[in-house]
Parts: sequence; structure tokens; C-alpha cells
Amino acid sequence: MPRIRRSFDFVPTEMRLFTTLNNAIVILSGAQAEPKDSTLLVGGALAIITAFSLSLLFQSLWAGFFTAFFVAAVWLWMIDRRMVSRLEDAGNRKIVRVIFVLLISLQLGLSVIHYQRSVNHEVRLSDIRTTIIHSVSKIEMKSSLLLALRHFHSLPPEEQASIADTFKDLFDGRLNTDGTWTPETPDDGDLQYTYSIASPDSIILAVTATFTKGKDPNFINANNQTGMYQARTVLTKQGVHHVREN
Amino acid sequence: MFGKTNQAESKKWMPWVNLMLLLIVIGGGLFIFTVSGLINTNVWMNNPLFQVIIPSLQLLTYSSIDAINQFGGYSADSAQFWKSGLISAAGLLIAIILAPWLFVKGYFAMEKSEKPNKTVSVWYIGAAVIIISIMVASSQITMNLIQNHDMKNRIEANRSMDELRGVMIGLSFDAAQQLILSPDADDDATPEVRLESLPSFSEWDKFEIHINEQLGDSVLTLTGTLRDKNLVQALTQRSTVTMRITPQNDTLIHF
Repeated sequence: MPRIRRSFDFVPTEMRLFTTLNNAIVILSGAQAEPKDSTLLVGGALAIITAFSLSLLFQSLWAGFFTAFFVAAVWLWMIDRRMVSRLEDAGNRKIVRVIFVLLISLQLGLSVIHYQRSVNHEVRLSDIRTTIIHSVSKIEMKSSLLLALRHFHSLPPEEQASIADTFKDLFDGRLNTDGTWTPETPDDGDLQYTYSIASPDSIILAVTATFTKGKDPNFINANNQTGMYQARTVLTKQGVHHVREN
Repeated sequence: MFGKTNQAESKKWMPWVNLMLLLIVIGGGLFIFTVSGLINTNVWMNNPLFQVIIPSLQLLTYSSIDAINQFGGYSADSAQFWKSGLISAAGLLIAIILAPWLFVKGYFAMEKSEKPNKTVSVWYIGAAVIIISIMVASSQITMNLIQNHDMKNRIEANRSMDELRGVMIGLSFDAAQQLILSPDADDDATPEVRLESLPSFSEWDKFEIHINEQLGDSVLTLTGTLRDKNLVQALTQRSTVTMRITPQNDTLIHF
């Protein structure tokens, strides 16, 4: 026996949802929700979701959030024009408006505070990371080269060798054939150390970070990255000289 | 007639009185349970209700986790990105769209009702969400204003201590080098190291650094502290940095 279609079956899904929502409000409030009011609610929700989707475009949740917040504020203004103004009691109208203004301004104020705090967190942690990396790499390079300098100066005149030879003798196990230098304490994979023998009396140890930021965001690093921390330490007979390049 | 108007006026406020009593009972109960330790203190900030009623709170959590990930060299967590985005969007929808709409609809229902005392559920739901949202937001803003000054001081103090440590590392290496290169290093009469003679020395307004002791060319101790007493008080760590320089050991400097 063919199934008899009810008239409700022909109604599109959106319309059915709309009717269900309207019925729920009728049950809860005991008053008929005007279709226009429900449209306003659905429209507002869709506008917020669309505005928040900008987060995906900019890959920033805050961008989507503040756009959606602006849309919500405009929507509240529309609610005021189209619904609040229809309230019969002037006192109720005033209460609703005061509460709306309080709600939107306090939420906006707190959102701005939270945004500032999140930016500060990011900057502060990045600064801390750079400070730690600066100290760690400075200690690694300066200590090693000062030990080579001490060794060079402690040799008796008959065993005197060049700085380069002294350096190679002392750190043979840490000098890799590809020009990289193995640090005494391995780090979390951020720092790439290299060594070069500029002349028999001049050694250069250099370091480049792979994810720790330096001072200049446009600085081109030795490993072809941009804006990362970079420093080098030069050993000569006169001493050790450390330069932070970024 | 005058009496009737007054009665109607007072009845108009009855839903507000009911709502406030309800919020005070629920809020007070939760507070007492938190104070007595039956509910964890984190329940306030970490529970979903809070995260939805204050939509930006979830984004602050996400940003903090993301900053920590970046600190460790990890990329952003896309699952967390979606989760935070959805919770925050749901928060905006509930706190600024749905609740105000239900609140106004509730007023319509009350105005159209023939019984002034009629309990309108949508009004209570909308009003409760809005009032909790306003109360929480205002308390958070106030707390932030109070804590802001202390936090700024603490951040500045910790940053100054990091700077002091960096300066002292530079001075320690300079001192070690001076002792290594000193022509009299092998003699008994090792020249005295003076701070002013070290290449990285300058007159620091913020720090007070001095040489504590020098034992020939084998040990030199440097001590540094912050001059600003307010910053010293704001510190959550020791305010003095001591460095021991041992040029004849393989570990040249010790913290």
C-alpha cells in the first residue's frame, strides 16, 4: 500500500526546523512568536557563524571573534529597533536597553583585556626564549673558545702550535666533517652550530636558531630562514669576541 | 486606583527578585562548596558554562597554549584551534544572540499574558544568562584592574633579572679571559681584576654589580642585584645573582 504523504513532508528541512523552533517558543513562553522575530534570530545566528568563519581565512581566532562581535552588536541594535521598541511598557523597554548596553560593553571590555593578555603572553614567552637561547649559545661558544685560548697559552714554547691546531686537538670529537659543531649539552633541536677556521690563528663558531626569533624580523639567516636568532664568536690570539647578529 | 498601580509596579519586579534569589542561592552554594574544598577552585574558570558565558576566555586559553607550543618549537594544534573556535562562537551565539532574544520574547509574553504573575520560562533563561554574563564580566574586569599593576611590576622585575644575568655572563667571560691572558697568570702576583677594566663594563643605572672576592687567578666571585627596591619586592625569585669564575677549571663559570 503506497505511503500517504502528509502535507508536512513537502515542507523543506529549513522550514521544518523553523516551525519546530517557533513551536518550542510558543510552548515555553506561552505567547505566539512572530515569524519575523524567529527569522531575526536565525539570521543573527547565521551572520555570527559567517563572521566567525573569517578566523579560517586569516588563521586567527581573534580576527573572527572581533568581526563576529561587531556583527552581534549590530544585531542587538536591530533587535532594539524591531523588537524592543514594540514592547508596550516604557519601563521594560528602558530595562532591556540598559541591560543590552551593559552586556555588550562589558563583554567588549573583557574581550579586549583577554586579547591584550594573549598578545602579551606571546611576546613575553618569545622574549624569554630569545634570552635563554642567547645565554645558552653564548656560554657554549665562549666557553669552548676560551678553553682553546687557555690551552694555547699554556703550551710550552717547544710545543707551540697554531690556534687552529690547538682548537682541533682539543675538540676533535665535536668537529663534524660537514662543518657543524656538536654542542657540549644538546638542545631541543633549535640551535645549529657551525665552525670555520678562517686562518691558522682565527676560529669562528656560529649559531643560528631554527625557531627562536631574533631582533630584526627581516634578517636573512645563514640557514636561509628569516628573522631568527643568530650570533658568532671569534677566537684570535688576542682573545674571544662575541657578536649577536640578530 | 493608586494602590493598584503600586501593586502592578511591584509585581513587575517580581521576576527580577525571583531570578536574583535563584542566582544568589546557586552562586552562594557553589562558593561555599569551593571554599570548603568540595569543589576544585579551577571549576570556576575551566567549566564549560564559564567558557560559554565569557566567549573570549576560550580564545585566551587557546592563545596561551599556542604561545607555549611556539616556545617549545611546536606548530599550532589544529584540533585545539577548531575546538576553541567552536566554543567561542557558541558562546557568542548563546550570550549575545539567543539570551537577549529570549529575554525580549519573555517580556512580550509577560505583557501579553492576562496573569501578571505568570512564570515565563524564556524570560528566566534569557535573563539568567545575561545577568551571569554581566556579573562575571564585571568581576573579571575589576580583578584585572587590581592585578594589572602588580603583574606589570612582576614582569618588569623578571625581565630586569634576565638582563642582569646576561650582563653578568658577559662580565664573567671577560674576567676569565683577562685572567687567562694575564702575563702574570703563572706568577704569584696575579693582577687584581677590576670591573671597570672589563670590556663589557658600563655604568648601569639598573644594576649594582661588584667583585666579592678574588683568589689569585683561580677563583673570582661576582655579585649583582637590582637597584630598584620596588622591583626587588615584586620578584618571585632570588634578587641576587652570584657568579663564580674559575679560569683554571674546564667549567669556566658557575651560577
